[in-house]
Amino acid sequence: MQQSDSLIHRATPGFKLLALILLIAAISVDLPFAPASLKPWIPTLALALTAALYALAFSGLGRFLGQLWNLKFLIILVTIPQLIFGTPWANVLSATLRLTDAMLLAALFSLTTKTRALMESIEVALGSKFFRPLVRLGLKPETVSLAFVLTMNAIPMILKFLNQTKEAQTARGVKPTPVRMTIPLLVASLKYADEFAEALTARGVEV
Amino acid sequence: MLIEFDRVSVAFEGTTALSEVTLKLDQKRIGVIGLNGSGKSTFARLLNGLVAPTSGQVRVGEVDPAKEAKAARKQTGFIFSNPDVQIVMPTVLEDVAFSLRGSGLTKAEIDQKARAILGGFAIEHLADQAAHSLSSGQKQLLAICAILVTEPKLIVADEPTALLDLVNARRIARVLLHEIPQQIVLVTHDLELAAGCDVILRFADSRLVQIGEPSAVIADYLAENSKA
Repeated sequence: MQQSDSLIHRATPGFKLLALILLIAAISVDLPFAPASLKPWIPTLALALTAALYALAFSGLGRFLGQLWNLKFLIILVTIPQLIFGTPWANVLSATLRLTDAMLLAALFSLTTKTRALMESIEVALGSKFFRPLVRLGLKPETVSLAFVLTMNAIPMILKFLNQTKEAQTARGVKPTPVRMTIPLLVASLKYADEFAEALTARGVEV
Repeated sequence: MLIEFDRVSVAFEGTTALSEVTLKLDQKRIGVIGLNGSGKSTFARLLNGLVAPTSGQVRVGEVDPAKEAKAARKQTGFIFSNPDVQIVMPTVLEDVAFSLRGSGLTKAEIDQKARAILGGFAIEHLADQAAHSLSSGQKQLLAICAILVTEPKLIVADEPTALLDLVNARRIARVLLHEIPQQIVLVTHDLELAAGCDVILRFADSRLVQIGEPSAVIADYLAENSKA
């Protein structure tokens, strides 16, 4: 998963997480200090910067284009309603670019960060002086880092259930729609959560 | 290790899942068979405290799993039928290493131990792969490695081959019956797998109805259910 040894792979998870938050904040809000002539170009420049970061991490743009292709449905889902409601095309483009860029940056972070290192960073950060009052109130850094990883880990499982539900409905001659898929997906996810909790308990994880 | 049940019953919301089970077992490979809903899985879950008895007492070695959950989970590893629910970490090596969290070992020692156990089952080359991208057989092997790395005394496997194809089911069967040194309780519908055990327990209608030599118990089980 993380075989490369690029500068981005080697950067500490804490630094990368901070950089991710700052970059996403910078592309999400209207930067007050940016020159007015530059503002319309910020989403495009940010996407170019993201592409450059991918190129640096994976020695080329192949992975960047692959991730972009994975986001195609999300991009369509975000763009079409805006066009239907008559949002000016420049605004549609800007919003779509910003969202796509944020997703690509988040993906870059998870593709280049070892999970254990990330968990350790979260635990170190939450164990620092700044969070001590919360720890005293019962916040467990290990539980927070585990919850973070479990959330990330649940994504491929939910996608698997989504595909299984789609296939099952197609096999029965029903066109899968978001409304029809909601209940089976919810049932499968809850069953998974139940079994997963039992397996965690069996592995000695006390949360 | 001696497994002792003294008049153990389990009920969930008024429904009896297991009724008045009394037994003593110290065989290395213990098979558990029975129809769906017969009480097999409840029996298995009592062994590491995932389920507590409503009445009676369970002892596994020196431990009462209902009262000493932490000790029970340390000495008893549990393998589920669906390997997907057992994967906690994104990559194979990280998932095995996760089992050693809080063991007091250094990061390097944990990695070395995790790689050694993967190497023992010839899957060390998968160490950096995404765990969810493995085949079902490889995932089940990963689940076994993640359990074995903690060096439990007893392994409980609840239908470990249920979701596997023939080749993978046979590989997992060989591992569980012949390649691991631990005592094992194997809950299964696969009678070929059960036949490889030293003793078989047969459950029916929430009761333990038979304990004995695999061939005799399997023959009675088949005879009793052949009319269905």
